[in-house]
Amino acid sequence: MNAVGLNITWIIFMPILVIIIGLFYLGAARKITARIQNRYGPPIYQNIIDVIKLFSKKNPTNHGVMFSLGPVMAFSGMLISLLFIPIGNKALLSFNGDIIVLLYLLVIAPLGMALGVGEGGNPMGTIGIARALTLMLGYEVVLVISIISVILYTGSASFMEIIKMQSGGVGHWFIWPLFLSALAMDMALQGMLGEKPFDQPVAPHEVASGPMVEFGGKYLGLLQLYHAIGIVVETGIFVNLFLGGGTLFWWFVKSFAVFFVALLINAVMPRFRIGQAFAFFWTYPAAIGLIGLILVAILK
Amino acid sequence: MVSPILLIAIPLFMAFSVPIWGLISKKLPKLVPFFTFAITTAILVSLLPTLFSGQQGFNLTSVTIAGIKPPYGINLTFGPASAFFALIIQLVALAASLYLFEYEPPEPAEKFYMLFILVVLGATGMVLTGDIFNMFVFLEITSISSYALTAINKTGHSAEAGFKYLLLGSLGSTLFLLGIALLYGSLRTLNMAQLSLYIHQGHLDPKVLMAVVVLFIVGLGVEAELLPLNGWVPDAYEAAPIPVVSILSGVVAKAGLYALARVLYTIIGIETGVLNLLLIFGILTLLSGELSALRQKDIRRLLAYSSIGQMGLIILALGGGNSPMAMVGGLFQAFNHAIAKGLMFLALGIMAAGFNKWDMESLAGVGKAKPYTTFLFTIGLLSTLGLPLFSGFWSKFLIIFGLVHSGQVVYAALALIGSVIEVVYFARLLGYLYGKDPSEELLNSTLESKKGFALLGMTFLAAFVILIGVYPDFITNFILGGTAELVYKSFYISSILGGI
Amino acid sequence: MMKLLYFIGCFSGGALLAFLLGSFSPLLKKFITFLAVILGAVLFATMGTSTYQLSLLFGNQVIFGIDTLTQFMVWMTLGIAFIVSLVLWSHSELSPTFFALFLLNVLGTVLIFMSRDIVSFFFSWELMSWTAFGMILSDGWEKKRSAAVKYFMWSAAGAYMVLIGFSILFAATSAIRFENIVMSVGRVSHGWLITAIAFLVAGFGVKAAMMPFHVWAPDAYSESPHPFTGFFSGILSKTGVYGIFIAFFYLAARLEAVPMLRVHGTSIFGYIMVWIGAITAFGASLIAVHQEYGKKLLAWSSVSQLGYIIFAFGIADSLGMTGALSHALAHALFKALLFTILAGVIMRTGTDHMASLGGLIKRMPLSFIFAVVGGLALAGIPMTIGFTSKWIIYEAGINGGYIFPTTLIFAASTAAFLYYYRFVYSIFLGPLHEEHQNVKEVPATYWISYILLAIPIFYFGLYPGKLVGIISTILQSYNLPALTTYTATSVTTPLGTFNGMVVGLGFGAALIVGLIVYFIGGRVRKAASQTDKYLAGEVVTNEFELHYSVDFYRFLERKLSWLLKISAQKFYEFIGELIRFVADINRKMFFCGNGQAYLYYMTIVLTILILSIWRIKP
Repeated sequence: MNAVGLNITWIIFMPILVIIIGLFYLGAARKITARIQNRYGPPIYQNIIDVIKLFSKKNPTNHGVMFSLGPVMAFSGMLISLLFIPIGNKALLSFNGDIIVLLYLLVIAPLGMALGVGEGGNPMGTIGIARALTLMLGYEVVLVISIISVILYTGSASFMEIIKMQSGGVGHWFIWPLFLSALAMDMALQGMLGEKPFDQPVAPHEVASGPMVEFGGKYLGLLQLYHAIGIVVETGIFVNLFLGGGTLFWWFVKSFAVFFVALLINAVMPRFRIGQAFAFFWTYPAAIGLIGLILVAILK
Repeated sequence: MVSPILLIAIPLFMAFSVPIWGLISKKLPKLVPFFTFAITTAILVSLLPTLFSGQQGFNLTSVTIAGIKPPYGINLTFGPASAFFALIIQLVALAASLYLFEYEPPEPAEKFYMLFILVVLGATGMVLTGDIFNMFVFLEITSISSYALTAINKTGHSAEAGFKYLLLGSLGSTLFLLGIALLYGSLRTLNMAQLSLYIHQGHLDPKVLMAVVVLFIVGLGVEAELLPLNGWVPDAYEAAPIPVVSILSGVVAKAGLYALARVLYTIIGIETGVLNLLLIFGILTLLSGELSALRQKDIRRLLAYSSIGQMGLIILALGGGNSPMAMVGGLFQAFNHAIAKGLMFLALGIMAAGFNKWDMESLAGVGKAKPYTTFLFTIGLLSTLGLPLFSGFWSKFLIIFGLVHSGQVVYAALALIGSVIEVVYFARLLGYLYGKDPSEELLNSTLESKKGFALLGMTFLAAFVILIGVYPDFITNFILGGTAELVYKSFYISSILGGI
Repeated sequence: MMKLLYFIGCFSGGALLAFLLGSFSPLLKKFITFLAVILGAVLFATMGTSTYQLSLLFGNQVIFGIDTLTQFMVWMTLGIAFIVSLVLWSHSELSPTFFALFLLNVLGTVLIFMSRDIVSFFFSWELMSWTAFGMILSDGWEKKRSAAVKYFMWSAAGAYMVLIGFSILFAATSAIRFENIVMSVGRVSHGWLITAIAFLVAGFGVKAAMMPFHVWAPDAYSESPHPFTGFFSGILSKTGVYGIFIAFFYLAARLEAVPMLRVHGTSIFGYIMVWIGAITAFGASLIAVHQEYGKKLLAWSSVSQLGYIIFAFGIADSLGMTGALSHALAHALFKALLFTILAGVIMRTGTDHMASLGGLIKRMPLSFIFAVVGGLALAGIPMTIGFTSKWIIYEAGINGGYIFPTTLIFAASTAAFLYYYRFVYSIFLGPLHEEHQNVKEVPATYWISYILLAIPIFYFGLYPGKLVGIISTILQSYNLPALTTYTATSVTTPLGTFNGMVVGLGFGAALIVGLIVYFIGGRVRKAASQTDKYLAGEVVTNEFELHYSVDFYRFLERKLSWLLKISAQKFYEFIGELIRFVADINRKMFFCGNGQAYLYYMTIVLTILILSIWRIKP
């Protein structure tokens, strides 16, 4: 009874915690990028202020029901994905669905956003979506190759099983035996997070922030929240699969470390053209992932 | 009592009486073929019950002529195989004669009707006779009348076609006669049962036997449309008047086929060598016919090539004689082909009536201009393709199963490749007929409703196609009997000569 | 016995009546068709599981039987047929021939699932094939002639391969009933058995649009009459799937005994199917991404989805077969839904060219909602049946160790998002075109059918265990390995668990939270008319075409052009050219029109034969 009560409390508080931490991630990202580029940058809590401001803004333009529902669906889709990923050894709903379920839950959010953008009717937004989907076709293959190699290595697709097998210190983390797969997945993660060199969907100079172009006020606020959760979920997958999960504190530390690597690359890289980005994913990361996969298949 | 002799005697009388009817009224000769064939069909149908009474479930009656018993006299045999082919011939002839009501032949019209009856008479004689020389005589009656009918249009084109047919046909007949002469020289008899008995008892040198086989195949192959001997077919089908074409494919070719089957199976007996020969001839004819049809634009020529392909399939089936299934399928296919091709040619005649253009482009969209005729044409076409609900399905199914059952998987596969080609050109043809809008010229041509009698005859054939397609057992007993009669020599011999 | 005849009579009689009476009154043909389908369903419901014998050829008994698999497939067929007959109420323009052929087609399809012997199976198979051809030809769309011919040629080729396969089995076992063949299949020599099964699988593969036999499918699907396309792609392709199941797991029950190379626990046969399925799924979905026309896009998507089924069948363990059969149902449902929606769009706007459509969401909101539902199932989003089946297939692939094909399958699934978004965006979202200002929502028959199709899509998505339960019963009745670890709402595989209900409730809760967050925010302002154009704050005049729908994924196409160039179509065109060449030579040689030449031929044949008499053994 007590455990159930604890779980329910956690289900309610965890998303709020993740949102706040995710917004701090975004703030930190701005700060770190700024420092690398020899600027001061905004304070680390800037994104929290932004969200509050966006939600209190009046009269953002609405283009129709799907336009409003899109950001809501994006936010809710990310929220449900969050419940299926164990954070700090707390399983939540993760026993009711494995990694593949999570992979497909993760699609709800972008799909919702894409539909909303579509009703907005701005061609820039749609170009952004088309780019995002193309990018997705690129990195999803790499991601899947890495995930398959983990599943093959452990014989299970359940997060909790995989985390349990990595318990017992740094030496047991799968990043060591599955180094190539982890490397491939990290590259895929760069695309998932939309960090440079893979930020074509939102490229401000080309498509005027792409999908976000028609959204303002609370719509943009919802999308900010979606982005914040997204970062935690996406880095969390890497943490759970390759870095052994960990207690709540260490989990977030690892998650931020993964994000930090992505940030560093982001700060120094230019942007690929979208075709290049797609082709890149299907060549080097895919090749690295496949070699890793073959190694697992042979060694297993 | 009605006798099978009437099937030959009545048309003979009617054929030569055509000019007399013409003296009474100019319109009367037009009716003669129909009434002739109506009577003969009625006689044939009334005779059918006698076939299925004997111990084996079927029965073969021998009718002596002029009171001299076989093997010395000439006799007619009326068994399931003969009756089956006679039925095919009568049905097609009946439908074609109904078409004649709507057809104006070139003058003098009496000649046309006379020849028309004679072709059918000769073919009927061929399938009924029990004497091989008599068969040759009837073959000559059929083929000479056919040459004349092919060339009857009095254009250079038809004269050329008729002449080609004459060239090949007369040489073929000569070879057939040569084969008969060889047989007679060695065995001193012309009665088929007697010949069969002697050959069965080994009175004939195998080498001579094989020479006879070769002469018969090449000789009869002209009428049966075997590969290198069928050059006349497309030209004749293109040049001859439509009712004649339906007779050529439904009657003459079937009579030639019967003769071939009767001679090879009953008289010579099935031998591996002969079967292989049939298989090779069959498959080559089939593939060559279908391939030639593939790029035809003229629908008459297309149907002619398709007819060749179908005849190849039948010959192929006869070559699978190790398995009775293939043989049954072959006879079944002969029936289906005669009915369906006859139907298609007649329908084509109505489709192009008052228009006289026969290529696909000109007839495109006819499905909208003349829906009922095109519908009948489609029934024949789908049956030829061997699709279910139509009779052709069963025969094709049986042939393929029979061929594989007798171990000829490769031949079956090749035949099916031919069938795929057939599907391509027929599907394309249907695409033209239904998938386009009709031209002004086509819309202004003769209405199909003005061709009521012709449509009646075609409807009659189409009804057969669907009836047998839905319920094949309507006719399968007949075919089983026919196969048995052709294959079981001893049954044939004992039925005619009265016990061995 | 009588019930079966009533059932057959119901459809064929309906077909006859619709054909004869249909030209007098359009109402009559629609009513007869509708009634015949409903009556047929009622009759089928009363038939239960039983066996019927009919005396057909030479007095032979042909067998029709109903077992759990038959019931599964037939209910699927009759269900979609009902949807089509419902939608047909709004299509008086279709000819009576179409209605008649449609009923015959449904009959043929149902009889395939019921037949228990070679004769009736092949009969029904051909009946199903040619009636579909007739429908394309009589009432098809723009390029119907070439599409119909192509379809019919392939369908005949497939049917003949099936025929050869069956006849080999018949020749070796002398049995026409499936049960007798299965009993004596042990007597068949291994070589012949493998040949027969290879022919059968290839033949059925044509109908299941298996690469490289898929080239007919996109054309035929997209050119068939619009209301029928859902049935065509959803159900008729399943006859091929059913055939593969019968050939592979029932007739070839002894295939396991044949010493063959085995890969990953399946026979080399299965392994080839896994690869073919994966390549089909992957290749077809990449092609679907670049289609400009809605029907073509969905048609290629069908080919891709059928690839999943082939893939799963190849794996041939409990997971694989469960996945294949459940995806068969899933594909039938969502593809029927999407094609029906597209039929509605075409009915209202007259085109499926995606660049000419757009912004229909405000005009046809119901169609849009269900297009999203269908799309969710197509893309395999949890809570829909599409995910249930795809998830099992993925688990089967990974569990079996087919790592590369599984990767391809995943990539195909991602590509499905791409083409699905293109489909729904280009048609329903974006700016509205001037000429579609007054487009109306689809009539009631349409949206009722949408709802009817959406119900099972969600039901089996939330209760995946129910679907797996049905399929496990089927597999067990065929003595095949079945998945047993399931409850009503969840399915467990050796790798993991999926609980549809929890996901559904969770998403529901998350949606409520999202809406609460949404309503916390400030009020919104309604934008002006849909035709007002705007571009990142700039106002543009109406001459500018701002619908981003031409060359939607141009950048992708550029990168993949080398892959898309590999085309089976070109190969077949080459073969066709070759055959035409041979045909011409043949015709010019044997039918040259020269009487002398004919005489030469005759003489040559005679000479050859006479000379070879001494070689032929009498």
